Amino acid sequence: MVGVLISLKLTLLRHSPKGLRQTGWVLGALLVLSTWAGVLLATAGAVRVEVQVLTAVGWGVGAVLGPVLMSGAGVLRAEYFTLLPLDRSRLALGLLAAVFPSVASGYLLLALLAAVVPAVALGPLAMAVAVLGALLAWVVVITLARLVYAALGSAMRTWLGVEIAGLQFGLLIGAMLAGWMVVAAAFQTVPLLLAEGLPDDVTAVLAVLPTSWPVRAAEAVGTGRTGTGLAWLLALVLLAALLLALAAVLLRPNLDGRSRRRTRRPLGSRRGRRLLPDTALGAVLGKELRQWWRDPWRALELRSGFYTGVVFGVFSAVSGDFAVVAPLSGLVIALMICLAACNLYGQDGSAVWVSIVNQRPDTVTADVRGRQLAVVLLVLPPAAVVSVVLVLVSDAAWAWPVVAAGLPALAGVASGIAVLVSAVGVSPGVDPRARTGPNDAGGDMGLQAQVALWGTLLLVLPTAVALVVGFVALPGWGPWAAVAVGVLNGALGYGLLGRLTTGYLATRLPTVYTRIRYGRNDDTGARGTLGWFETSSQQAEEKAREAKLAERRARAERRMTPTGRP
Amino acid sequence: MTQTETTSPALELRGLRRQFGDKVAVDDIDLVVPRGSFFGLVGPNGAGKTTSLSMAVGLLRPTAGRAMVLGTDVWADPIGAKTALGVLPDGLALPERLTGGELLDYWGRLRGMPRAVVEDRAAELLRILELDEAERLGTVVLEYSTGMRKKIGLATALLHSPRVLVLDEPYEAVDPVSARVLTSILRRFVAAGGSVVMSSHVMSLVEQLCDRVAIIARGQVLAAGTLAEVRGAGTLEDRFVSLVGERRLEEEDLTWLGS
Ligand SMILES: Nc1ncnc2c1ncn2[C@@H]1O[C@H](COP(=O)(O)OP(=O)(O)OP(=O)(O)O)[C@@H](O)[C@H]1O
Ligand SMILES: [Mg+2]
Repeated sequence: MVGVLISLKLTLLRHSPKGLRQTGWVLGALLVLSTWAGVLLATAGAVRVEVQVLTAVGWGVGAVLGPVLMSGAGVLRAEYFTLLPLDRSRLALGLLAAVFPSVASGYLLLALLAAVVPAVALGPLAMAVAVLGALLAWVVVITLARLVYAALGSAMRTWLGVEIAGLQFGLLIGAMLAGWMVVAAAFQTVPLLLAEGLPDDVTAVLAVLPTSWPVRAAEAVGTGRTGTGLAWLLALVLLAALLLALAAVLLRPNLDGRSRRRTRRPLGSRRGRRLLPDTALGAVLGKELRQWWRDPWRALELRSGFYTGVVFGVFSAVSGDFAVVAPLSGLVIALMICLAACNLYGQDGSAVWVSIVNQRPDTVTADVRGRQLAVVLLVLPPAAVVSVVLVLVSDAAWAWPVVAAGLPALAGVASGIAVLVSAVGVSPGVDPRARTGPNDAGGDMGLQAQVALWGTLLLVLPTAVALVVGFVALPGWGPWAAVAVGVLNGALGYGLLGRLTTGYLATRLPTVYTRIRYGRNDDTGARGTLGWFETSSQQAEEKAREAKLAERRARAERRMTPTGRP
Repeated sequence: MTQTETTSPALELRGLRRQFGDKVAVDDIDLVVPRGSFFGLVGPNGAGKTTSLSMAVGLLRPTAGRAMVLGTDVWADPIGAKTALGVLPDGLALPERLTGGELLDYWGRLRGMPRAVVEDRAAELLRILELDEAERLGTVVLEYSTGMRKKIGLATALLHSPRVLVLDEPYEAVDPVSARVLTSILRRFVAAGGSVVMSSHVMSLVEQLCDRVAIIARGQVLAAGTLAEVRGAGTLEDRFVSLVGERRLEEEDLTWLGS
C-alpha cells in the first residue's frame, strides 16, 4: 500500500519531473493567494482572525505531512554523511537549515504572514509583532515538519516510528478515499465561514495551536496588553528553541544502521509453535504471522490499512452530509487487505528459495493458503471490532447486516486477490537485510495496486447488489439475507482466487525467484490475463529501475560539473 | 529401488547452460558427481559456480541442458529430485524475522517431518553449531552475523537428512572451531554414504576434504576428475593458477597506495 503512493510519484516524475515541479509552484502560489484573499474578504475583525487561524493550521498540517508524499530519494539523508569528519549535532542543524531556502517554505512563510492583515487595524506595533510572530511560527512549523519526516526515516527502526508512518500513510490514503466528503462540506460552509466565523468550540481548539500564536500576540499588543503579547512571542521563541534542540539530537545520523536490538524475546517465540497444526499449512501460517508481527515493513502495511479505515471514519463523520457511512469504516479496513498484502513475495525477498528446495506435493497450496489465512486472521478481528464499536456508537442499527455481509466478502476476496497479485506481479524491493527506508520493501507497484483494488471491488459486487436489493426491494429481513451472499462471496473469493494462484505457482516458484533475485523474467509460459499482468508488471519494474538509475546518474553528473548547483 | 536409483550418479549436469541476456554465465557444463564422493567446485569470482549450482538444485531455470539428482531430472520431476537434496545457497534471504529454532521448525513442517523428530534434531543442530545461545536470547536471523547465517543455513540443509548435499561456499565466514565441526559433520555424512558438492575459494580446504574436484572459469569446465588427476604433481592452487591465468601486481601498479 505504501508502494501505491510512491509509485504514483514515481510515475509522475518519470513522465515529467519539470512539469510536476511547475504544477506544484502554480498550485502553491494559488493557495497563498486564496489564503490572503480569505483573510482579506472576511467581513468582521473577529471572523478575520478566525479565518487566518484556520488557514495557518491548514498550512502547518500541510507542511508537516507534505514532505512524506513529495520527497523521495532526492532528500539528503543524514546517513549519507556519517563518515564525514563533522560534529554530529552541527550536521543535524545544517541539514535542517538546508530545508528553509526552498520554494515550498517560501510559500509557507508568505501564507503565515497573512497574520499581518488582522493586525492592520491595531496599529504599526501590532503589525510588527504579527510579522515577528509569523517568522517564529515559520521556524516552528518547518522544524516540526523536518522532525516528523525524520521520525518517518527512523520509522523502520522504532515501534513509534512505524506507528507514525502508518498514521501518515493512513491519512494520505484515507484522504484520497474520503477527502472529497470533507471538501464538499467545506465548499458549502466557506461563504458561511467568511461571514460568521467558526463555531466557538472549534475556535477554542485552534487558538491553542502555535500557528495561532502570532495573531494572538498582535491582538494583545494592539489592545494595550503588551505583556501578554510579549508572552505569546516568548512562547513561540521557546517552542522554536525546544524544537531546534530536539532536531539537533534527533536528526543526527544514525550510526548503528540496523534495526534497534530488541531487549526481549520476539513475540510468539515461546508458545505459538504448539498451537499451530503440524502440517505445511501450519508451518506457513506460523511463519507469516510472525513476519507480520515482527517485520516493521509488514507492520507498516497493516497499520496503514487500519488508519486508512479510521481516517475514513473521521472524515465522513465530520463531513455532516456523509456521516451516515461512518459506521462502515471497518469495511474499509478489510478492503485494505488487498493493498497491504499485494506484495507478499516481494516483501520476503529471495527467501522464496526455501519453498522451492523443500517442494513437496502440498507446498505451493500451503504457501498460498497460509499467506491468505494469516492476513485474514490479522485484519478481520480489528475490522470487526471497529465496525461493532462504530455501529453501536452511532446507533446505526441499519448497518449491522451491511457489516455482517461486507466483512466476510471483503476479507475473502481481498486476501485472494492479494496473494494472486503478490505471485503474478511480484515486485522485489531492496534485499530484506539492506532495507532502511519505509519504501524499501517493493518497487513500482502502481499497476499491482490498481489491479488489486479494482479487482477486489469488482468481485464483491454480488454482495453489494444483494444488500441494495435487500434494502430496496425486500421486506425487513431483506438485508439479512444478503449476509448469506456475503459469506458465500467471501468463501468463493478466498477459495477460487487462491486456487488460481496455486495453479499459477505450481510450476513457477522458480520464476518468482528469478524475478526477485535477478530482476528479470525469462519465463514466458503464462498466457491470457495472467500472462499480460506478469509481463506488464515486470516491464514497469524494469522501467522504474532504469529511471532510478538514470536519475542517480544525472544527479552524480550534476555534482561533478562545477557549474551545477552543489 | 529401481535400477537408475541405485546406479545413477549423485548429481549429473548435462550440457547445462545459462544466459543472462547476451552474457553467457554458464556455457554448456557437463559434470558428474559419483555417489559417495566429496566433490569440490573451484573457480575465480564470477566463474559461474553459484549459477550452475542454482540450476542444479532447481532454483534457476537453465537456458538449456539437464540436471539430475540420483537419476531424477530436477526440472522434469522437481518434487522427486528435491526429497533427496539438501541445499545451502549463497547470499540469499531467509524468513528474516524468525529465530534459528523457529526457522528449523518451519523447515521441518514444510518437509512433513514428525514434530518430535524436528524438535530433537533442531536442538541438537543448534547446540553443535553453537547457535543455542542466540536462540535462548531470541535472536532473529536478521540479527545473525555472517558466519551464524552460514551455520543456520547448514542446519536447515542437514535437518531432513538428505542424501545429496549441495553447498555454495559453506566455509565462508565460519570461525575455525565451527569449521572443524562442519568438517567432521561432512566427513561423517560422506562415510555414511552421502554425497557432497561444495564450492569454495580455499584450495587447501578442498585438497584436504574432497576426493574429486572441478575447476571452472568463464562458465566452462577447465579440468575435472579425482583430486590426483586434477592437481597432478603440484598443488591444486598451482594447477588452478596455471589454468585460470596469473595476474601479477606490477612495479608501477598502485604506487599511490600508502604514499
Ligand atoms: N542478474 C544477472 N545479470 C547478468 N549477469 C549476471 C547476473 N547474475 C550473475 N551474472 C553473471 O553470471 C556470472 C556467474 O556468476 P556466479 O554468481 O555464478 O559466479 P560465482 O562463480 O558464484 O562467483 P563467486 O565466486 O564470486 O561467488 C558472472 O559473470 C556474473 O556477472
Ligand atoms: Mg558464488
